[in-house]
Amino acid sequence: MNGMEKFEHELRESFRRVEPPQGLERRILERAGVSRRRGRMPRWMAAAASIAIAGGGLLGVMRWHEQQMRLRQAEQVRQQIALTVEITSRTLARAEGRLRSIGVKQIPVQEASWREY
Amino acid sequence: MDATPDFAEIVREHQGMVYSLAWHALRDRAAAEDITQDVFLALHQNLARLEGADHIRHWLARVASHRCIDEIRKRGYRRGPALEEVREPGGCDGDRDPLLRRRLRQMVASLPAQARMMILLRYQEEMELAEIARVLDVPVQTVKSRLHRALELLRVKMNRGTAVVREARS
Repeated sequence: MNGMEKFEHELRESFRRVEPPQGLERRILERAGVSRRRGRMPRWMAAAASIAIAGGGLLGVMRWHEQQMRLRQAEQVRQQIALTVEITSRTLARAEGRLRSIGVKQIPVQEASWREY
Repeated sequence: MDATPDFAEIVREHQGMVYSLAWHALRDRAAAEDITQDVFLALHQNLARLEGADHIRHWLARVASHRCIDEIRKRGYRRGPALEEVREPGGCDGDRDPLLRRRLRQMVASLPAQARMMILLRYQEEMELAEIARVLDVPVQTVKSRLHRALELLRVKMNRGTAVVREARS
């Protein structure tokens, strides 16, 4: 190493970069009104995550819709059964009234059904 | 691909360069931090116009250098803290002759503003002469001649100082 090279080497060593003061980055970002985004995920990962979230949401909505349809069907069946029971009950009440009007107080059900066959 | 660079990442990557240029140019921690903050705020406002990492680095070096030159010239009549009083920040000296380094920094600090920045861009940032010329808006030949003159001056002063020390020791 000649004299000039040695001198230039000393210059490089003397003017190496120094450590910025602690918190300088934070102060700059605060002044610029920028929030720090440490460890930001890559764009492709963010896109994949968005698609997964959207897919999950859609699946959830579809499940909910399906469940609502089943509940509606169950309610319709329940109402039909209630109507059937009510009609049957009225019919029986009417029959009982007629029987009473002709003087029949009690029908031996077992015997009547045997006689019929 | 997103062409907009992330400002926080740019600050993280380049704060060392900008702060070091300002610190070595001014030897004043508060002024160096003020300049660094101002330079990055200016970058934030101009970020959309800059294309790519090299452009950003060049832009930062350019704005920081001009800010430092302005500040050095402004301080021509206003003395800052004496160099002897300034505590060196981390990363400045290794275990090698700190007195020699300090003397070298003092001598560089006595150079005119533009020559001082040329030395810093060349030896702190390892820039080529053409890049220094673009950063400082001067012809390459001017950089070459001023840098050469500054180095010769520093070398002569340094040798003179070393001779005085040798004489004093003997």
